[in-house]
Amino acid sequence: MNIIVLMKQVPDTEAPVEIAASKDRLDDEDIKWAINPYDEFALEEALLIKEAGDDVTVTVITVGPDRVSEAIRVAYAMGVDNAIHINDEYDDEAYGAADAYTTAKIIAKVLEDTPHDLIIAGNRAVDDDNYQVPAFIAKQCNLPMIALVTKQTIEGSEITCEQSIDGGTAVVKASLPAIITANKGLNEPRYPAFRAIMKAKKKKVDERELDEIGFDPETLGAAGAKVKIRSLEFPPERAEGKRIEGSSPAEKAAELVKLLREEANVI
Amino acid sequence: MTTSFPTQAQVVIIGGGIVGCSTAYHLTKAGYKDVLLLERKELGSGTTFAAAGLLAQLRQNQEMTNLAKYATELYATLGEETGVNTGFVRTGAIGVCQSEDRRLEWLRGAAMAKAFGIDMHEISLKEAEDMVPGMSTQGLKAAFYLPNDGQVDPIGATQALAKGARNGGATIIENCKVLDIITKDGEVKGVKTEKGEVACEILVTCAGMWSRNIGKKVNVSLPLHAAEHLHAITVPIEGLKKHFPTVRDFDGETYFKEESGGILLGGFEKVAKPWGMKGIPDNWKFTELPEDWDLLEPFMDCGFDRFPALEEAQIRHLQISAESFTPDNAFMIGEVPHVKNMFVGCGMNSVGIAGSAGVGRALSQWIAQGYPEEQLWPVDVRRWFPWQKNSRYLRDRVVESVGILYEHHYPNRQRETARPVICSPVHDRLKANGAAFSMIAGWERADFFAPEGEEAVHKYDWRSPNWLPYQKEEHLAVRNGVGMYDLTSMGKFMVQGRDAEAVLQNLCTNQIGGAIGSVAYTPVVNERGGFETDITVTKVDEETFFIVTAAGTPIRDLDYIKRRTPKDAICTIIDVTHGYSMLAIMGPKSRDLMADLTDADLSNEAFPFSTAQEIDLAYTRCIAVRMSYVGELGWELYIPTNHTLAAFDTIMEAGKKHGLKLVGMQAVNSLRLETGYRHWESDITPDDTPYEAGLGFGVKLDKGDFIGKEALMTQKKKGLTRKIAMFTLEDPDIMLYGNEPIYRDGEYNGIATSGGYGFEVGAAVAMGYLKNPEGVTKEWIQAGKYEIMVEGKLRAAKLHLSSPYDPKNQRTKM
Amino acid sequence: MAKDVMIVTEIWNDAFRKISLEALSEGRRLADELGSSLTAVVLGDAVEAHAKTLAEYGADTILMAQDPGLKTFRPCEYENVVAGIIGDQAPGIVIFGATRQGRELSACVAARLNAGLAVECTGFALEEERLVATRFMYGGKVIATVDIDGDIQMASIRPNVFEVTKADGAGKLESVAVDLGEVNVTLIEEKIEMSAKAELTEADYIVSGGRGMESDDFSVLEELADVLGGAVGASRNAVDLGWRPQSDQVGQTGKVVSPKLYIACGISGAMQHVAGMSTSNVIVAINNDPDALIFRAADYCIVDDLFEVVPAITAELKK
Repeated sequence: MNIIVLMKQVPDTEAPVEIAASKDRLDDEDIKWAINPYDEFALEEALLIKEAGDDVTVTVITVGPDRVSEAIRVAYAMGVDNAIHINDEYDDEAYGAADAYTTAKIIAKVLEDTPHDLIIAGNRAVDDDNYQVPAFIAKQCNLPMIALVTKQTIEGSEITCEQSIDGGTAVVKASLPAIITANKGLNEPRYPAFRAIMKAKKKKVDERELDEIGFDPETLGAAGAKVKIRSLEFPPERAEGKRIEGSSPAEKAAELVKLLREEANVI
Repeated sequence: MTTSFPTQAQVVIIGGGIVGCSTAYHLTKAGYKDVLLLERKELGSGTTFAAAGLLAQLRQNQEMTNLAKYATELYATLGEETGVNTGFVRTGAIGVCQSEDRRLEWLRGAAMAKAFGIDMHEISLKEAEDMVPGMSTQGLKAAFYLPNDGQVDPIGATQALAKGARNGGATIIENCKVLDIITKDGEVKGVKTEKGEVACEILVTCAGMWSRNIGKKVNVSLPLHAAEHLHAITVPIEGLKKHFPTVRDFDGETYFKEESGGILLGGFEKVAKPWGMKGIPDNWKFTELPEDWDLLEPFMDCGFDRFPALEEAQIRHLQISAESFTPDNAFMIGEVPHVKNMFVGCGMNSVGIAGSAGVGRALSQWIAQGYPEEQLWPVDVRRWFPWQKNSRYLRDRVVESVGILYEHHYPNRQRETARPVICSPVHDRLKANGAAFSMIAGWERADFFAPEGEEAVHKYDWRSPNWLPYQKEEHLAVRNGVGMYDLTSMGKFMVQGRDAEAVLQNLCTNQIGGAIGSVAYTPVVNERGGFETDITVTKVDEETFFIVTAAGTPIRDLDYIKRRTPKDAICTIIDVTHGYSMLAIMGPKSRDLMADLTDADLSNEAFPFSTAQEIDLAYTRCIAVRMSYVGELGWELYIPTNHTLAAFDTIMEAGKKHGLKLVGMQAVNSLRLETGYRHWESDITPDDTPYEAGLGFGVKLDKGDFIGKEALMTQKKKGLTRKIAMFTLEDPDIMLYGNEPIYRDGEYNGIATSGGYGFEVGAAVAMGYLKNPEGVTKEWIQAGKYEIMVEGKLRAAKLHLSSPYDPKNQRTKM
Repeated sequence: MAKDVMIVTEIWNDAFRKISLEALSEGRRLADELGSSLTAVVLGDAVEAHAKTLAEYGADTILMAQDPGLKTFRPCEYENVVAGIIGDQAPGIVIFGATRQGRELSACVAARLNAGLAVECTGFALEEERLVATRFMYGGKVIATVDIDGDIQMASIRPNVFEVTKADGAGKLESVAVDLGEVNVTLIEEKIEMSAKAELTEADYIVSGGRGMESDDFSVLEELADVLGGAVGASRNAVDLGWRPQSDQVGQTGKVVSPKLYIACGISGAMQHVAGMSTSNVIVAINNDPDALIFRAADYCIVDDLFEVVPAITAELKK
């Protein structure tokens, strides 16, 4: 069985970010990058299936600039078999920020000649929070999609999943090939081990350029995006808070309630 | 949470890392209540947070060791005092050696540690394994144990210091970036911040890697540069002992500590990755740098060797952050030159947690009484030259600075990066003659001359470095023939004006107001009688004095003199270091050689010792000073820099007939040691008086008032409790390098301030202070039986009340 | 003539979600500015009783897609129906609520129609009759202004950001023919607990607990939330420790919330947590560590033991 994991490298959630001079993207430099946390669940699930079964190959597909190689190294160290890196690093300033649509378009194209029985993606990337790539891929590749999966079992050519829904869970099934999106709770992702990190350096990455896979870069990036970032800015800073004093917890509580009623007008 | 922003404070501290908080804490302990600490973001969010929190006590010198040692005392009790958990654990530490050579270094280190009052001893490999379950000692040669080393939680300790400071009355304001420093007439007046101006009397910059740019605001050289620095933490590993002793494998550049049941593995990159060339991002706050697994790789092999379980251990967190390093890996502390009341405490070189307590305390003493309790020259901010804030120099140097912490600390170990910076006019000539260069204060100096056919490079070794035979030849040439060395690097000042003599008389303990052409060696001491510097002063004319000082101290000396020159005195002091070269022609045959170069009368009558004349030399005119640092007849020739090359060639040509030999710094050092000349910074420091140093001849109590006179008079009356003495080892095959413990009657008494080989006397020579609270008399000194600890063994030493060579100092007057 | 604005609404626990009303109110504003009309789409089993109330929020046309197969949210069926309606109606702007359902449905419909979709928007403007949206990115650290390409501009809105405003709409009720279409995911079973409690992202009041709660006993927070009529949230730490379900997690890797009042109890204030609640109207932090980072994000700070302060607040509110 061929499992594809869609992986994205995103700024570490604890990393402060800086807006680039062009205003339409972040300043890449000096940001600590990490594998999108939901993609870690996806990776782990793929590896668990591989470890439990026979003849399972796990291939990670990622779209991103040169720096993504660090994330690929971690994926290899975690245990994936292959990695396909579609390098979208372009010097051209006009290339601009890709969106879910252009990213999905690239991945769908790669999937055309990459065998896949199951595609696992994170339910969203925590950088642009678009929640869209898996849906676009499902549509473009005509695959059933099951979102927010917290448990899955594969029997024959069918996958049965538990998914998070409003107010609870649902159990659904679909035929393979299918795409599922991982939610927190699906598993506990492993970390890369030391030795594996060393070995991962020697693993060959299937590097592909956009033009090699049949794309004119001009049709991707900002030019091809359906949602185009016009500008980025930082949210206004919050005014410094007020410390509530009092000789007892009760006094502080009373003062707080008074302020919430009379000053903040929220209750 | 809102607090009102103050408009003034007695002391303002820039930077809320562990050093800034420690300084605030110690200032409040010293009685300062009006202390304001300004932090650009959040306490500890610069580089403190990224630290592993190791408290290693033994550092490269006594000064830094004492600073680090105090951390294990302070953090042991700070938690209780403040109610904030510092996470302090006295884990102890184990250093392991992969080679016999490293063991020799550590044996010397252990002896040094003992001298510094630190328990460090060799343990068996089995003992090491027992102390650190999970560690393998396979392939190791030795292990050493430091039971009192510890670990601390950097942020916890920072918060505890901050709490302690607040309890003591200090105000700490976060999210307030300092934008500029306000000065007037060379004095600090306040700071401009994002939230307004604050007037202050004293400013302390503890701004870590931001300090260089803060220094630039007042044109002060605070040379440091950031580099990437990392550690990795594993998930819990079964079988590890909680709080096992920190393991340091210097040969593998790697250290290990227990962290939440797993191992924290950190390393000192041999070739570090400079960072922050474009500046440090404004939003830096607990920031980690992009993952770069290749950076971790060099440490993994060592990791697998020491802890086999690491192979399969999952890496929970790879932390790459930035830390700043100075060009010589030592901190920078103290009052900056030329700006009054501006202090710094930064340049922590990745040992900021261990150094924080001591640095904060030293700064508080410095601010309160004008000087630190123990002299701190190796970490003194006045050691930097203005050019050292050059960013390219710093960037290139930092590549080497990280790894050097774990490198083999061979004697005379030279830096290899960011060179050359300053070359003497004869640099290429020296090189053509086989010079291998060493560097001090940016100057390239011939360290030794390799004979033809031999490679002119340093090959380090504890017992027989490659230059020993060459050094010996150069040494003996000066003793028995004639040698020439280039000391253009010496600091040189011209002091001029109607009041120049009065100003200098007030600073110098010796009589410098003799006849025109007289030269005086003189201590310059502080109010306590301790050496601030020692210089030679040549009276050029009634209103002009030519001062020569060490290569490393001109900035300190200039600052010292300027601060003590009365504002209304008609006296200017100009640094002319780069205006004159200095070639020294020394040895019993120097007069013969000089006679071929000048028509001047060089006889003892016409040109006695301790005098100077402007003479013809080759095609130039130079100041010839009949003084010697090597204890032989000779002249130091101060030649206008651009005349030097031609003069040098003429001297070399004339020298052929006299067997002139070029001499390097290694030989100069062994020559001066053998003849008992003191070296400021090792043998004489602000904590040593001329009487203790055996340099009482340089103090003229009857010449009128001078700084330190009272203290020296008192000391002379009361008698000494410590006094320098010299030693030679009985066994001619053993080397000394300084910092070896000296034993008297089987008891540790003091430490060798200098050590080297005396090729003329045929033994290793050392000097060091002997102490006795009851008084050090000649009789008491002579009554002792002396031994020096070398590589863990006590070696019989012979005492010399004067110098081992030419004890009556007659050779210079030949 | 400007194209219409369409709102895809959502019924939960026998009532419209508040976010649907927020979307309608904003849709009304946009339609007025465009001089076009506002259409509400209501899906479900039998929705007419609810649907007609939407006129009060400015809906000109209310399209009802009623079918037992639409009783609860089924992505394929919903997508087929909504895509069909959009195809028929050809609106210029389609707005969803960024709920669990809205996010997946909007993504599927956008993919199906090859439309641009801006997710979790917090503001809209019109420029030459085109929608320009603002939305948070990078977990609330950055605000982006985005253009949406194509004939159909799609967007979802973040809960609790837009005001609910009553307006008179024509309220023309229309039933559309439902074709559930091709379905490639089969439902086996559903476990849903309909609760009167507000969904975390929609709650006006959230009381959250972190590591400082010391155990899975969140009863003091629940009592306060009950008095306020709000919901209980949790930090990543509390979720990772197994004290609260993942659905309660507030933060960059959990839910992004913007209630009227957010009370953080025993939460340290990691950046990723603050990112998930920093747009709350008023933030209160309660922590016994005066240096806790959470205080930097808060409007009101109480340095004290939460186990004493929180019950005291509850008691005070009950007075």
